[in-house]
Amino acid sequence: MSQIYFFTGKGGVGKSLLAETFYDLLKTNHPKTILFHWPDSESDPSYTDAILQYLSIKLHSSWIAQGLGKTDFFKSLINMLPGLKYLSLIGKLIMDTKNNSHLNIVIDGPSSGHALSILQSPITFSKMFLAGSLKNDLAEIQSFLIDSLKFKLINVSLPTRLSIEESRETLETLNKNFPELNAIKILNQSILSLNLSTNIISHSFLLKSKMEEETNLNLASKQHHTVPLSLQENVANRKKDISPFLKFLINDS
Amino acid sequence: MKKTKISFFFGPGGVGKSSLSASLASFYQDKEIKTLIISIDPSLRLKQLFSLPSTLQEFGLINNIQSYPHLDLFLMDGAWVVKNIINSKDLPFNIEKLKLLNVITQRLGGLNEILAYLTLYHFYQSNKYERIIIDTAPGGHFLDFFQSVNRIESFFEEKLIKIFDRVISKNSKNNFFSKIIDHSMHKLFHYLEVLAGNTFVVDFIESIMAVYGLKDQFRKTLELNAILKNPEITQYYLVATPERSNEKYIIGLQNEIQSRVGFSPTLILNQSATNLINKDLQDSYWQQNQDDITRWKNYLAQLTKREIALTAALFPNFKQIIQIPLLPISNIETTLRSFHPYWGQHEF
Repeated sequence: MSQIYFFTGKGGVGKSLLAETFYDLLKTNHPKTILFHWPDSESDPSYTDAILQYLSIKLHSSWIAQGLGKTDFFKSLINMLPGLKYLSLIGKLIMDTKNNSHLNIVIDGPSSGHALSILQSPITFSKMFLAGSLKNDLAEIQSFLIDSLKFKLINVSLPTRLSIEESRETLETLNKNFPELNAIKILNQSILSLNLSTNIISHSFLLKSKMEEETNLNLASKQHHTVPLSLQENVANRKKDISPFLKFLINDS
Repeated sequence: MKKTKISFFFGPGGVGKSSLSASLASFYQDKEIKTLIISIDPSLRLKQLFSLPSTLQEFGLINNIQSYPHLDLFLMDGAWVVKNIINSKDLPFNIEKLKLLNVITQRLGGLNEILAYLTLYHFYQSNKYERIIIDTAPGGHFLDFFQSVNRIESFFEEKLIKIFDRVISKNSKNNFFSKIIDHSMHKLFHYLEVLAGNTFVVDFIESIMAVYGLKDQFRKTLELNAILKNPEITQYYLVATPERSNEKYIIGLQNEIQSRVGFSPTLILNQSATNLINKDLQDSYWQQNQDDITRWKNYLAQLTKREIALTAALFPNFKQIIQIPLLPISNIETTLRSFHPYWGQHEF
């Protein structure tokens, strides 16, 4: 079965490294796995490509779609509607998994705010497209996103107050709009879970302050999956450290 | 009232943009300078930094923040912008009732960057604030803010408006399509109807015509472009941290900004830890050869190595640099104030 894993979280929490590590891990048993880096800016051409690909299919002609895509009005309209860009790209990825059984996509997603906009986009536009084939396709996207076997949202945070608060708020908003969504919380770069001797901690201001913050957050009760901080310098070694802690995400059925 | 000055904070995620912008705002607050802080990022971390309840459902302009009487906060909200900025009594229609516009401007609708552009222009020319501070979304999304100029410009291009003027003047009430002269436009509507149904096309034309009716208002905001390029008025802070920033990415952002506004941003190297770590490592404790201690010593050494490499790569590229050490974490208000000496030294 095809699955999409969408990594998000506050900026700088290590989403990309976790997504890449998980991609390597998943690929070992599922060769048809791809890693997709969500574009950093709305000017990215992959958005327009996704829109035109969709139009080609719906209008049964890539020629018409390309022609339409070249008109000034169409171009400037699309640029005024970033939400439509998000929708087309997530829709395209979902369509890819439907057309290609056993394809898994690991998305190295944007930070929480924009991730919310992406997941919100099918709901937003379903208020707009009340008929026609767009309506059905939107319903299909929404039902994919709430199918816990097909779509997993992985919310990454650090043991810092701002990032934990952002993660909590993101999941709360999602829970309101997508009560059935399968969201998984990961606490990355945890220092507490390394079980250091108090001696080491008391000799470093940096460690002490990080440790205190993590302790004060009292995260034990909040059901995070924890990934301990890796002390390795080299990225490949860091991935090796992290990898076993992401295994739980794979459910082979 | 003195002329308004604008400060932008941008940079990759997790480097402290929101904390720094909130601390600059609290710095002006203490000097009794009337300040507005705008959050573009839909994640709205600023709420937390000013100790507003996280359950607060109020967006838009918030002007009663406790213990900050000289500071207003703007949390990006499309409905607020439509109602208070785009709307005007002279409009021949009720903009708040336009269905499609309502849908796309709702929170998380994705329009934040363009709406922020309109918002900044509105508050800048209102002359109500001496300082406006803008906290942006991580990384490349900041550049989307600059793209708003081009988007507004090309959307309200004369050629397109003329086509729609013809649509307005030629159509009879019930049949939009038969009399649209422009061939490509006719085709576009036909395809839209296939995909989204007839009701949508009618709503769509109604919204587009209404928005085109606001063309002068939108076009006027393009004046902001010159203000953003004036180093006397606008200042850009590019924030990086040794722990989470890579020099190529930072220099890439610097170049993007410079090419758009014509001058370089000021670099803030936040959470600089080298001095602290070096001081810690002088302790004889770290000279022991136990496995755990060696691992941690290596880790700390790794962090300082990264910081030295980052500063070596970045510092020659920036004329102005503010270096802020890693500060102890305490309650939010104290944390924000602990940055004040750095703002004092580099007052804009």
